[in-house]
Amino acid sequence: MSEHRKRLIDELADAEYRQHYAEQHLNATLATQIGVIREQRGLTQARLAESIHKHQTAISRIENVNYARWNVTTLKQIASALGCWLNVRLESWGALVDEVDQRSVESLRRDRFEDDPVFWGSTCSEPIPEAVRWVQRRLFPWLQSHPESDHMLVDWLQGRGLPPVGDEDPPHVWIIRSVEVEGPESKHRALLVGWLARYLPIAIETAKELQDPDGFLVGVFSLAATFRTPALFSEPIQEICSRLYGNPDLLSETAQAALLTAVIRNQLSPMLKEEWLRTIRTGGHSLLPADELDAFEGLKSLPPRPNLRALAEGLKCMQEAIQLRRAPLDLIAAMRDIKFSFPEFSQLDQFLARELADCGWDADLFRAWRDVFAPTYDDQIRLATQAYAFAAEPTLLPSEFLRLLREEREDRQDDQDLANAISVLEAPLRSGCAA
Amino acid sequence: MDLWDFHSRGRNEILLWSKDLSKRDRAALNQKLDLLSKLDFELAQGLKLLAGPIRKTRHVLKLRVFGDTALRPLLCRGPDSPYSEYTLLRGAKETDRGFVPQNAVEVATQNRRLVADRPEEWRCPHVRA
Repeated sequence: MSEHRKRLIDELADAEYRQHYAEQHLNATLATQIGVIREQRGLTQARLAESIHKHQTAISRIENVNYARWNVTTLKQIASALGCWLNVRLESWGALVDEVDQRSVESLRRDRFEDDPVFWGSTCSEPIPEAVRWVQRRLFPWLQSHPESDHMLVDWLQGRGLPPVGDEDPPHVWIIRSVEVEGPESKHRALLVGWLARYLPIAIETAKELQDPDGFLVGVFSLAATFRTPALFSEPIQEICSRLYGNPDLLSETAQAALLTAVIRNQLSPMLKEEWLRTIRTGGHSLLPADELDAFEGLKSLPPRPNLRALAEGLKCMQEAIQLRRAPLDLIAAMRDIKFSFPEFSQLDQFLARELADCGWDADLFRAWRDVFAPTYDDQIRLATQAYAFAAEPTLLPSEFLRLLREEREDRQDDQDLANAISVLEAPLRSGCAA
Repeated sequence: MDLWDFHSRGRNEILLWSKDLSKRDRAALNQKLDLLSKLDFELAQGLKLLAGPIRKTRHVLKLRVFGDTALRPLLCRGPDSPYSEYTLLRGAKETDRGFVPQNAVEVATQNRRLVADRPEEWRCPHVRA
Protein backbone atom coordinates (compact mmCIF):
# COMPACT_ATOMS: atom_id res chain seq x y z
CA MET A 1 0.00 0.00 0.00
CA SER A 2 1.41 3.40 -0.94
CA GLU A 3 2.26 5.93 1.76
CA HIS A 4 -0.22 8.36 0.25
CA ARG A 5 -3.02 5.81 0.41
CA LYS A 6 -2.27 4.95 4.04
CA ARG A 7 -2.29 8.62 4.93
CA LEU A 8 -5.56 9.20 3.12
CA ILE A 9 -7.21 6.31 4.94
CA ASP A 10 -6.08 7.75 8.29
CA GLU A 11 -7.37 11.20 7.40
CA LEU A 12 -10.76 10.01 6.17
CA ALA A 13 -11.37 8.20 9.46
CA ASP A 14 -12.51 11.58 10.81
CA ALA A 15 -16.16 12.21 9.85
CA GLU A 16 -16.00 15.99 9.55
CA TYR A 17 -12.78 15.84 7.55
CA ARG A 18 -14.04 13.21 5.10
CA GLN A 19 -17.32 15.03 4.47
CA HIS A 20 -15.50 18.18 3.53
CA TYR A 21 -12.81 16.39 1.53
CA ALA A 22 -15.45 14.50 -0.46
CA GLU A 23 -17.37 17.68 -1.23
CA GLN A 24 -14.23 19.35 -2.54
CA HIS A 25 -13.33 16.21 -4.48
CA LEU A 26 -16.74 16.07 -6.14
CA ASN A 27 -16.60 19.68 -7.32
CA ALA A 28 -13.02 19.39 -8.50
CA THR A 29 -13.57 16.09 -10.32
CA LEU A 30 -16.63 17.40 -12.14
CA ALA A 31 -14.81 20.52 -13.25
CA THR A 32 -11.73 18.60 -14.31
CA GLN A 33 -13.64 15.96 -16.22
CA ILE A 34 -15.74 18.46 -18.13
CA GLY A 35 -12.62 20.41 -19.07
CA VAL A 36 -10.71 17.28 -20.07
CA ILE A 37 -13.52 15.81 -22.19
CA ARG A 38 -14.23 19.17 -23.81
CA GLU A 39 -10.57 19.37 -24.84
CA GLN A 40 -10.72 15.74 -25.96
CA ARG A 41 -13.55 16.72 -28.32
CA GLY A 42 -11.64 19.76 -29.59
CA LEU A 43 -14.34 22.15 -28.39
CA THR A 44 -13.88 25.64 -27.04
CA GLN A 45 -15.85 26.72 -23.98
CA ALA A 46 -17.82 29.03 -26.25
CA ARG A 47 -18.72 26.23 -28.67
CA LEU A 48 -19.83 23.91 -25.88
CA ALA A 49 -21.86 26.71 -24.29
CA GLU A 50 -23.50 27.45 -27.63
CA SER A 51 -24.57 23.85 -28.02
CA ILE A 52 -26.50 23.98 -24.72
CA HIS A 53 -27.78 27.52 -25.26
CA LYS A 54 -25.72 29.07 -22.50
CA HIS A 55 -23.07 31.75 -22.30
CA GLN A 56 -19.38 30.83 -22.35
CA THR A 57 -19.02 32.10 -18.79
CA ALA A 58 -21.36 29.34 -17.61
CA ILE A 59 -18.90 26.73 -18.87
CA SER A 60 -15.97 28.68 -17.49
CA ARG A 61 -17.66 28.70 -14.07
CA ILE A 62 -18.39 25.00 -14.07
CA GLU A 63 -14.81 24.23 -15.14
CA ASN A 64 -13.58 25.99 -12.01
CA VAL A 65 -12.47 23.36 -9.47
CA ASN A 66 -13.82 25.52 -6.64
CA TYR A 67 -17.29 26.00 -8.12
CA ALA A 68 -19.94 24.26 -6.01
CA ARG A 69 -23.28 25.57 -7.28
CA TRP A 70 -23.73 23.37 -10.33
CA ASN A 71 -27.05 21.61 -10.90
CA VAL A 72 -27.97 18.25 -12.35
CA THR A 73 -30.01 19.70 -15.22
CA THR A 74 -27.03 21.66 -16.53
CA LEU A 75 -24.72 18.69 -16.03
CA LYS A 76 -27.09 16.50 -18.03
CA GLN A 77 -27.06 19.05 -20.85
CA ILE A 78 -23.27 19.21 -20.81
CA ALA A 79 -22.94 15.42 -20.72
CA SER A 80 -25.24 15.11 -23.70
CA ALA A 81 -23.40 17.81 -25.66
CA LEU A 82 -20.12 15.98 -25.00
CA GLY A 83 -21.54 12.66 -26.18
CA CYS A 84 -21.69 11.10 -22.71
CA TRP A 85 -24.31 10.30 -20.09
CA LEU A 86 -24.50 11.60 -16.54
CA ASN A 87 -24.10 9.01 -13.79
CA VAL A 88 -25.17 10.17 -10.30
CA ARG A 89 -24.84 7.57 -7.57
CA LEU A 90 -23.97 7.04 -3.93
CA GLU A 91 -20.61 5.54 -3.02
CA SER A 92 -18.90 3.99 -0.04
CA TRP A 93 -16.00 5.86 1.54
CA GLY A 94 -13.57 3.19 0.41
CA ALA A 95 -14.41 4.09 -3.17
CA LEU A 96 -13.21 7.64 -2.47
CA VAL A 97 -9.83 6.31 -1.36
CA ASP A 98 -9.54 4.20 -4.52
CA GLU A 99 -10.58 7.08 -6.69
CA VAL A 100 -8.15 9.60 -5.21
CA ASP A 101 -5.35 7.07 -5.09
CA GLN A 102 -5.71 5.72 -8.59
CA ARG A 103 -7.40 8.36 -10.69
CA SER A 104 -5.38 10.16 -13.34
CA VAL A 105 -6.42 12.83 -15.81
CA GLU A 106 -6.28 10.14 -18.46
CA SER A 107 -8.88 8.07 -16.63
CA LEU A 108 -11.35 10.97 -16.83
CA ARG A 109 -11.51 10.91 -20.61
CA ARG A 110 -14.52 9.27 -22.19
CA ASP A 111 -15.01 7.88 -25.67
CA ARG A 112 -17.76 9.21 -27.90
CA PHE A 113 -20.42 6.66 -28.70
CA GLU A 114 -18.93 6.11 -32.16
CA ASP A 115 -15.48 5.40 -30.68
CA ASP A 116 -16.69 3.24 -27.81
CA PRO A 117 -15.28 -0.28 -28.31
CA VAL A 118 -18.31 -1.74 -26.55
CA PHE A 119 -20.38 -0.82 -29.57
CA TRP A 120 -17.91 -1.85 -32.23
CA GLY A 121 -19.42 -4.45 -34.48
CA SER A 122 -22.82 -4.19 -32.85
CA THR A 123 -25.36 -1.53 -31.96
CA CYS A 124 -28.02 -1.54 -29.32
CA SER A 125 -30.73 -2.09 -31.86
CA GLU A 126 -29.07 -4.92 -33.74
CA PRO A 127 -29.23 -8.51 -32.52
CA ILE A 128 -25.98 -10.14 -31.51
CA PRO A 129 -24.55 -11.91 -34.57
CA GLU A 130 -24.79 -15.69 -34.47
CA ALA A 131 -21.03 -16.03 -34.81
CA VAL A 132 -20.53 -14.04 -31.61
CA ARG A 133 -23.21 -16.11 -29.88
CA TRP A 134 -21.28 -19.20 -30.93
CA VAL A 135 -18.16 -17.93 -29.16
CA GLN A 136 -20.19 -16.86 -26.11
CA ARG A 137 -21.83 -20.27 -25.75
CA ARG A 138 -18.41 -21.87 -25.35
CA LEU A 139 -16.45 -19.09 -23.69
CA PHE A 140 -18.82 -18.09 -20.88
CA PRO A 141 -19.25 -21.49 -19.24
CA TRP A 142 -15.52 -22.05 -19.59
CA LEU A 143 -14.70 -18.73 -17.89
CA GLN A 144 -17.22 -19.30 -15.09
CA SER A 145 -15.85 -22.71 -14.25
CA HIS A 146 -12.41 -21.21 -13.37
CA PRO A 147 -10.72 -23.68 -15.70
CA GLU A 148 -7.48 -25.33 -14.79
CA SER A 149 -6.81 -26.16 -18.42
CA ASP A 150 -6.10 -23.24 -20.74
CA HIS A 151 -6.26 -25.26 -23.92
CA MET A 152 -9.41 -23.73 -25.35
CA LEU A 153 -8.30 -20.10 -25.32
CA VAL A 154 -4.72 -20.95 -26.24
CA ASP A 155 -6.04 -22.85 -29.25
CA TRP A 156 -8.47 -20.09 -30.20
CA LEU A 157 -5.76 -17.44 -30.10
CA GLN A 158 -3.83 -19.51 -32.64
CA GLY A 159 -6.92 -19.59 -34.84
CA ARG A 160 -7.64 -23.22 -34.03
CA GLY A 161 -11.13 -24.33 -33.06
CA LEU A 162 -12.92 -21.16 -34.17
CA PRO A 163 -14.00 -22.12 -37.71
CA PRO A 164 -17.70 -21.19 -37.38
CA VAL A 165 -16.88 -17.49 -36.88
CA GLY A 166 -14.95 -17.25 -40.11
CA ASP A 167 -11.44 -15.99 -40.78
CA GLU A 168 -12.15 -12.42 -41.87
CA ASP A 169 -10.94 -11.16 -38.47
CA PRO A 170 -8.11 -12.38 -36.22
CA PRO A 171 -9.24 -14.80 -33.48
CA HIS A 172 -8.75 -12.36 -30.60
CA VAL A 173 -11.26 -9.98 -32.22
CA TRP A 174 -14.00 -12.61 -31.92
CA ILE A 175 -13.12 -13.17 -28.28
CA ILE A 176 -13.26 -9.42 -27.61
CA ARG A 177 -16.62 -9.10 -29.37
CA SER A 178 -18.11 -11.90 -27.35
CA VAL A 179 -17.36 -10.28 -23.98
CA GLU A 180 -17.85 -6.65 -25.04
CA VAL A 181 -21.36 -7.22 -26.35
CA GLU A 182 -22.65 -7.16 -22.79
CA GLY A 183 -20.94 -3.88 -21.93
CA PRO A 184 -17.97 -2.88 -19.83
CA GLU A 185 -19.40 -4.21 -16.56
CA SER A 186 -19.75 -7.71 -17.90
CA LYS A 187 -18.57 -10.32 -15.44
CA HIS A 188 -17.26 -12.34 -18.36
CA ARG A 189 -15.05 -9.50 -19.39
CA ALA A 190 -13.70 -9.34 -15.83
CA LEU A 191 -13.10 -13.09 -15.80
CA LEU A 192 -11.25 -12.89 -19.09
CA VAL A 193 -9.14 -10.01 -17.76
CA GLY A 194 -8.28 -12.19 -14.77
CA TRP A 195 -7.25 -15.04 -17.06
CA LEU A 196 -5.11 -12.66 -19.07
CA ALA A 197 -3.38 -11.30 -15.97
CA ARG A 198 -2.40 -14.85 -15.01
CA TYR A 199 -1.28 -15.67 -18.54
CA LEU A 200 0.78 -12.62 -19.49
CA PRO A 201 3.79 -13.49 -17.28
CA ILE A 202 4.09 -16.92 -18.93
CA ALA A 203 2.99 -15.94 -22.43
CA ILE A 204 6.42 -16.04 -24.07
CA GLU A 205 7.34 -19.36 -22.44
CA THR A 206 4.00 -20.85 -23.48
CA ALA A 207 4.35 -19.59 -27.05
CA LYS A 208 7.62 -21.46 -27.55
CA GLU A 209 5.77 -24.75 -27.37
CA LEU A 210 2.92 -23.82 -29.74
CA GLN A 211 2.39 -24.38 -33.46
CA ASP A 212 1.68 -20.70 -34.12
CA PRO A 213 3.58 -18.80 -31.40
CA ASP A 214 3.33 -15.52 -33.26
CA GLY A 215 -0.45 -15.65 -33.65
CA PHE A 216 -0.82 -16.57 -30.00
CA LEU A 217 1.36 -13.70 -28.75
CA VAL A 218 -0.31 -11.17 -31.05
CA GLY A 219 -3.65 -12.35 -29.63
CA VAL A 220 -2.54 -12.12 -25.99
CA PHE A 221 -1.00 -8.66 -26.42
CA SER A 222 -4.00 -7.42 -28.39
CA LEU A 223 -6.33 -8.57 -25.63
CA ALA A 224 -4.16 -6.74 -23.09
CA ALA A 225 -4.31 -3.62 -25.26
CA THR A 226 -8.08 -3.78 -25.63
CA PHE A 227 -8.90 -4.54 -22.00
CA ARG A 228 -6.46 -1.94 -20.73
CA THR A 229 -6.09 -2.68 -17.01
CA PRO A 230 -2.82 -1.07 -15.90
CA ALA A 231 -3.08 -2.35 -12.34
CA LEU A 232 -2.92 -5.95 -13.56
CA PHE A 233 -1.10 -5.75 -16.87
CA SER A 234 1.62 -3.14 -16.64
CA GLU A 235 3.99 -5.19 -14.48
CA PRO A 236 4.04 -8.36 -16.63
CA ILE A 237 4.19 -6.27 -19.80
CA GLN A 238 7.12 -4.36 -18.40
CA GLU A 239 8.81 -7.64 -17.58
CA ILE A 240 8.38 -8.80 -21.18
CA CYS A 241 9.81 -5.51 -22.46
CA SER A 242 12.83 -5.86 -20.16
CA ARG A 243 13.55 -9.26 -21.65
CA LEU A 244 13.27 -7.84 -25.15
CA TYR A 245 16.02 -5.30 -24.52
CA GLY A 246 18.65 -7.98 -24.46
CA ASN A 247 17.02 -10.16 -27.09
CA PRO A 248 15.04 -8.21 -29.69
CA ASP A 249 14.56 -11.23 -31.94
CA LEU A 250 12.48 -12.96 -29.30
CA LEU A 251 9.33 -11.59 -30.93
CA SER A 252 8.31 -11.08 -34.53
CA GLU A 253 7.71 -7.53 -35.74
CA THR A 254 3.94 -8.09 -35.64
CA ALA A 255 4.08 -9.33 -32.07
CA GLN A 256 6.33 -6.41 -31.10
CA ALA A 257 3.82 -3.98 -32.58
CA ALA A 258 0.99 -5.63 -30.64
CA LEU A 259 3.10 -5.52 -27.49
CA LEU A 260 3.82 -1.83 -28.02
CA THR A 261 0.11 -1.11 -28.30
CA ALA A 262 -0.45 -3.01 -25.05
CA VAL A 263 2.34 -0.98 -23.47
CA ILE A 264 0.82 2.31 -24.54
CA ARG A 265 -2.70 1.46 -23.50
CA ASN A 266 -1.68 0.20 -20.10
CA GLN A 267 0.14 3.37 -19.04
CA LEU A 268 3.82 3.79 -19.46
CA SER A 269 6.52 3.55 -16.87
CA PRO A 270 9.48 5.90 -17.48
CA MET A 271 11.40 3.04 -19.03
CA LEU A 272 8.59 2.27 -21.47
CA LYS A 273 8.21 5.91 -22.34
CA GLU A 274 11.79 5.81 -23.54
CA GLU A 275 10.92 2.77 -25.62
CA TRP A 276 8.01 4.63 -27.18
CA LEU A 277 10.21 7.62 -27.93
CA ARG A 278 12.79 5.41 -29.56
CA THR A 279 10.12 3.75 -31.64
CA ILE A 280 8.76 7.02 -32.91
CA ARG A 281 12.27 8.23 -33.73
CA THR A 282 13.08 5.17 -35.75
CA GLY A 283 9.65 5.01 -37.33
CA GLY A 284 9.42 1.39 -36.28
CA HIS A 285 5.87 1.23 -34.98
CA SER A 286 3.88 -0.37 -37.74
CA LEU A 287 0.62 0.32 -35.93
CA LEU A 288 1.18 4.04 -35.71
CA PRO A 289 -0.50 5.12 -38.93
CA ALA A 290 -3.41 2.82 -38.21
CA ASP A 291 -4.43 4.08 -34.84
CA GLU A 292 -4.20 7.74 -34.06
CA LEU A 293 -5.39 7.23 -30.51
CA ASP A 294 -2.41 5.04 -29.75
CA ALA A 295 -0.13 7.55 -31.32
CA PHE A 296 -1.68 10.30 -29.30
CA GLU A 297 -1.43 8.38 -26.03
CA GLY A 298 2.18 7.74 -26.79
CA LEU A 299 2.89 11.33 -27.67
CA LYS A 300 1.33 12.52 -24.46
CA SER A 301 3.48 10.12 -22.52
CA LEU A 302 6.74 11.47 -23.82
CA PRO A 303 9.10 12.56 -21.07
CA PRO A 304 9.16 16.22 -20.07
CA ARG A 305 11.24 18.46 -22.31
CA PRO A 306 10.79 16.10 -25.21
CA ASN A 307 12.71 15.86 -28.36
CA LEU A 308 10.61 18.10 -30.56
CA ARG A 309 11.56 16.12 -33.59
CA ALA A 310 9.88 13.02 -32.11
CA LEU A 311 6.82 15.10 -31.40
CA ALA A 312 6.71 16.55 -34.90
CA GLU A 313 7.20 13.13 -36.46
CA GLY A 314 4.50 11.64 -34.26
CA LEU A 315 2.08 14.36 -35.27
CA LYS A 316 2.89 13.75 -38.90
CA CYS A 317 2.10 10.04 -38.46
CA MET A 318 -1.13 10.94 -36.74
CA GLN A 319 -2.06 13.30 -39.50
CA GLU A 320 -1.77 10.51 -42.03
CA ALA A 321 -3.94 8.28 -39.85
CA ILE A 322 -6.47 11.01 -39.30
CA GLN A 323 -6.70 11.82 -42.97
CA LEU A 324 -7.53 8.19 -43.67
CA ARG A 325 -10.49 8.54 -41.37
CA ARG A 326 -11.34 12.05 -42.52
CA ALA A 327 -11.53 13.53 -39.06
CA PRO A 328 -9.61 16.81 -39.11
CA LEU A 329 -11.17 17.79 -35.79
CA ASP A 330 -9.19 14.99 -34.14
CA LEU A 331 -6.03 16.65 -35.33
CA ILE A 332 -7.07 19.95 -33.78
CA ALA A 333 -7.99 18.11 -30.56
CA ALA A 334 -4.62 16.38 -30.53
CA MET A 335 -2.86 19.69 -31.07
CA ARG A 336 -4.75 21.23 -28.19
CA ASP A 337 -3.58 18.50 -25.85
CA ILE A 338 -0.07 18.79 -27.20
CA LYS A 339 -0.28 22.49 -26.41
CA PHE A 340 -0.94 21.68 -22.76
CA SER A 341 1.63 18.92 -22.55
CA PHE A 342 4.44 20.57 -24.47
CA PRO A 343 4.34 24.35 -24.27
CA GLU A 344 7.79 24.43 -25.92
CA PHE A 345 6.09 23.45 -29.13
CA SER A 346 4.64 26.90 -29.48
CA GLN A 347 8.06 28.53 -29.42
CA LEU A 348 9.19 29.29 -32.89
CA ASP A 349 12.86 29.11 -33.36
CA GLN A 350 15.24 27.82 -35.96
CA PHE A 351 15.38 24.43 -34.33
CA LEU A 352 11.65 23.86 -34.47
CA ALA A 353 11.43 25.16 -38.02
CA ARG A 354 14.08 22.66 -39.06
CA GLU A 355 12.27 19.81 -37.31
CA LEU A 356 8.96 20.63 -38.94
CA ALA A 357 10.48 21.03 -42.36
CA ASP A 358 12.43 17.77 -42.08
CA CYS A 359 9.34 15.90 -40.97
CA GLY A 360 7.43 17.04 -44.02
CA TRP A 361 4.84 19.14 -42.27
CA ASP A 362 2.24 20.27 -44.69
CA ALA A 363 -0.83 22.43 -45.11
CA ASP A 364 -3.16 20.66 -42.66
CA LEU A 365 -0.66 20.47 -39.86
CA PHE A 366 0.44 24.03 -40.44
CA ARG A 367 -3.16 25.20 -40.33
CA ALA A 368 -3.89 23.15 -37.20
CA TRP A 369 -0.80 24.56 -35.51
CA ARG A 370 -1.87 28.08 -36.47
CA ASP A 371 -5.42 27.55 -35.19
CA VAL A 372 -4.41 26.09 -31.87
CA PHE A 373 -1.27 27.94 -30.89
CA ALA A 374 -2.46 31.25 -32.36
CA PRO A 375 1.07 32.48 -33.07
CA THR A 376 1.66 36.13 -33.79
CA TYR A 377 1.85 37.37 -37.33
CA ASP A 378 5.61 37.84 -37.08
CA ASP A 379 6.04 34.34 -35.68
CA GLN A 380 4.17 32.81 -38.58
CA ILE A 381 6.26 34.65 -41.11
CA ARG A 382 9.45 33.68 -39.29
CA LEU A 383 8.48 30.01 -39.18
CA ALA A 384 7.53 29.93 -42.84
CA THR A 385 10.72 31.71 -43.86
CA GLN A 386 12.95 29.51 -41.74
CA ALA A 387 11.20 26.36 -42.83
CA TYR A 388 11.83 27.45 -46.39
CA ALA A 389 15.53 27.64 -45.67
CA PHE A 390 15.67 24.16 -44.16
CA ALA A 391 13.18 22.13 -46.14
CA ALA A 392 14.39 19.50 -48.55
CA GLU A 393 11.37 20.32 -50.71
CA PRO A 394 11.13 23.98 -49.97
CA THR A 395 7.66 24.77 -51.09
CA LEU A 396 5.36 23.16 -48.55
CA LEU A 397 5.22 25.51 -45.57
CA PRO A 398 5.97 28.81 -47.27
CA SER A 399 3.61 28.18 -50.14
CA GLU A 400 0.80 27.18 -47.80
CA PHE A 401 1.40 30.22 -45.68
CA LEU A 402 1.63 32.36 -48.76
CA ARG A 403 -1.74 31.09 -49.87
CA LEU A 404 -3.28 32.02 -46.53
CA LEU A 405 -1.74 35.47 -46.69
CA ARG A 406 -2.98 36.02 -50.22
CA GLU A 407 -6.48 35.11 -49.10
CA GLU A 408 -6.21 37.61 -46.27
CA ARG A 409 -5.05 40.30 -48.67
CA GLU A 410 -8.37 40.14 -50.47
CA ASP A 411 -9.94 41.66 -47.36
CA ARG A 412 -7.05 43.92 -46.40
CA GLN A 413 -5.82 45.54 -49.57
CA ASP A 414 -4.27 48.50 -47.73
CA ASP A 415 -2.29 46.55 -45.17
CA GLN A 416 1.34 47.37 -45.96
CA ASP A 417 2.77 44.84 -43.44
CA LEU A 418 0.80 42.11 -45.10
CA ALA A 419 2.03 43.17 -48.53
CA ASN A 420 5.62 43.12 -47.24
CA ALA A 421 5.17 39.64 -45.75
CA ILE A 422 3.88 38.33 -49.05
CA SER A 423 6.77 39.92 -50.84
CA VAL A 424 9.28 38.36 -48.42
CA LEU A 425 7.84 34.91 -48.97
CA GLU A 426 7.41 35.26 -52.71
CA ALA A 427 11.02 36.20 -53.33
CA PRO A 428 12.70 32.83 -52.62
CA LEU A 429 9.91 30.96 -54.36
CA ARG A 430 10.35 33.10 -57.44
CA SER A 431 14.10 32.53 -57.49
CA GLY A 432 13.50 28.80 -56.90
CA CYS A 433 11.24 28.69 -59.95
CA ALA A 434 13.74 30.61 -62.01
CA ALA A 435 16.48 28.17 -61.06
CA MET B 1 3.92 16.01 -10.27
CA ASP B 2 6.03 15.92 -7.12
CA LEU B 3 5.23 18.33 -4.30
CA TRP B 4 7.90 19.85 -2.06
CA ASP B 5 7.70 22.03 1.05
CA PHE B 6 9.92 24.97 1.95
CA HIS B 7 12.03 23.82 4.85
CA SER B 8 14.18 26.06 7.01
CA ARG B 9 16.61 24.96 9.72
CA GLY B 10 14.82 21.70 10.37
CA ARG B 11 11.36 23.34 10.33
CA ASN B 12 8.89 22.47 7.62
CA GLU B 13 7.28 25.90 7.27
CA ILE B 14 4.34 24.62 5.23
CA LEU B 15 3.54 21.84 7.69
CA LEU B 16 3.67 24.31 10.58
CA TRP B 17 1.26 26.64 8.77
CA SER B 18 -1.18 23.93 7.77
CA LYS B 19 -1.25 22.39 11.26
CA ASP B 20 -2.89 25.58 12.51
CA LEU B 21 -5.76 25.35 10.03
CA SER B 22 -9.24 24.15 10.93
CA LYS B 23 -10.15 20.57 10.07
CA ARG B 24 -12.36 21.68 7.17
CA ASP B 25 -9.64 23.95 5.82
CA ARG B 26 -7.11 21.13 6.02
CA ALA B 27 -9.47 18.82 4.14
CA ALA B 28 -9.91 21.42 1.41
CA LEU B 29 -6.18 22.09 1.23
CA ASN B 30 -5.21 18.42 1.06
CA GLN B 31 -7.82 17.72 -1.60
CA LYS B 32 -6.50 20.52 -3.78
CA LEU B 33 -2.92 19.38 -3.32
CA ASP B 34 -3.93 15.81 -4.25
CA LEU B 35 -5.50 17.22 -7.40
CA LEU B 36 -2.53 19.47 -8.17
CA SER B 37 -0.19 16.49 -8.06
CA LYS B 38 -2.12 14.92 -10.94
CA LEU B 39 -2.50 17.88 -13.29
CA ASP B 40 -0.03 19.48 -15.59
CA PHE B 41 0.48 23.19 -15.18
CA GLU B 42 -1.66 24.41 -18.06
CA LEU B 43 -4.63 22.29 -17.04
CA ALA B 44 -4.29 23.41 -13.40
CA GLN B 45 -4.39 27.01 -14.60
CA GLY B 46 -7.29 26.33 -16.96
CA LEU B 47 -9.31 24.86 -14.09
CA LYS B 48 -8.46 27.88 -11.95
CA LEU B 49 -6.73 25.76 -9.38
CA LEU B 50 -3.61 27.84 -9.84
CA ALA B 51 -3.38 31.57 -10.42
CA GLY B 52 -0.40 33.73 -11.14
CA PRO B 53 2.41 34.57 -11.43
CA ILE B 54 1.44 37.05 -8.76
CA ARG B 55 1.91 40.71 -9.63
CA LYS B 56 5.49 41.96 -9.29
CA THR B 57 6.87 38.42 -9.19
CA ARG B 58 7.95 36.24 -12.07
CA HIS B 59 7.49 32.83 -10.59
CA VAL B 60 5.23 32.89 -7.53
CA LEU B 61 1.82 31.28 -8.01
CA LYS B 62 -1.08 30.87 -5.64
CA LEU B 63 -3.13 27.73 -5.07
CA ARG B 64 -6.82 28.65 -4.88
CA VAL B 65 -8.49 26.80 -2.02
CA PHE B 66 -11.89 27.72 -0.66
CA GLY B 67 -12.41 26.19 2.76
CA ASP B 68 -13.86 28.14 5.67
CA THR B 69 -11.33 30.77 4.68
CA ALA B 70 -9.70 31.63 1.37
CA LEU B 71 -6.45 29.70 1.63
CA ARG B 72 -3.81 30.79 -0.84
CA PRO B 73 -0.59 28.89 -0.24
CA LEU B 74 2.11 30.37 -2.45
CA LEU B 75 4.18 28.09 -4.61
CA CYS B 76 6.32 27.91 -7.70
CA ARG B 77 6.93 25.43 -10.49
CA GLY B 78 10.18 23.53 -10.11
CA PRO B 79 12.44 25.34 -9.57
CA ASP B 80 14.56 22.40 -10.76
CA SER B 81 12.07 20.67 -13.04
CA PRO B 82 9.19 22.97 -13.90
CA TYR B 83 7.31 20.19 -15.70
CA SER B 84 7.37 17.66 -12.92
CA GLU B 85 7.36 19.43 -9.56
CA TYR B 86 5.94 22.25 -7.48
CA THR B 87 7.49 23.74 -4.35
CA LEU B 88 5.18 25.20 -1.69
CA LEU B 89 6.93 28.34 -0.52
CA ARG B 90 4.72 30.04 2.03
CA GLY B 91 1.37 29.42 3.67
CA ALA B 92 -1.03 32.33 3.25
CA LYS B 93 -4.68 33.34 3.26
CA GLU B 94 -6.31 36.04 1.18
CA THR B 95 -8.79 38.66 2.29
CA ASP B 96 -10.17 41.70 0.52
CA ARG B 97 -7.21 43.60 1.91
CA GLY B 98 -4.63 41.26 0.42
CA PHE B 99 -2.57 38.39 1.73
CA VAL B 100 -2.30 37.35 5.35
CA PRO B 101 0.47 37.61 6.38
CA GLN B 102 0.96 40.83 4.46
CA ASN B 103 4.54 40.04 3.48
CA ALA B 104 3.68 36.54 2.22
CA VAL B 105 4.60 37.29 -1.39
CA GLU B 106 7.96 38.82 -0.48
CA VAL B 107 8.77 35.87 1.78
CA ALA B 108 7.72 33.42 -0.92
CA THR B 109 9.95 35.18 -3.46
CA GLN B 110 12.88 35.07 -1.06
CA ASN B 111 12.18 31.40 -0.24
CA ARG B 112 12.11 30.51 -3.91
CA ARG B 113 15.49 32.10 -4.38
CA LEU B 114 16.90 30.01 -1.53
CA VAL B 115 15.39 26.81 -2.89
CA ALA B 116 16.65 27.52 -6.40
CA ASP B 117 20.19 28.02 -5.07
CA ARG B 118 20.34 24.98 -2.81
CA PRO B 119 17.26 22.80 -3.06
CA GLU B 120 18.67 20.00 -0.89
CA GLU B 121 19.07 22.43 2.00
CA TRP B 122 15.85 24.42 1.73
CA ARG B 123 13.12 22.00 0.87
CA CYS B 124 11.80 18.53 1.69
CA PRO B 125 9.10 16.28 0.18
CA HIS B 126 5.62 17.59 0.98
CA VAL B 127 4.16 16.44 4.31
CA ARG B 128 0.38 16.56 4.85
CA ALA B 129 -0.93 18.05 8.04
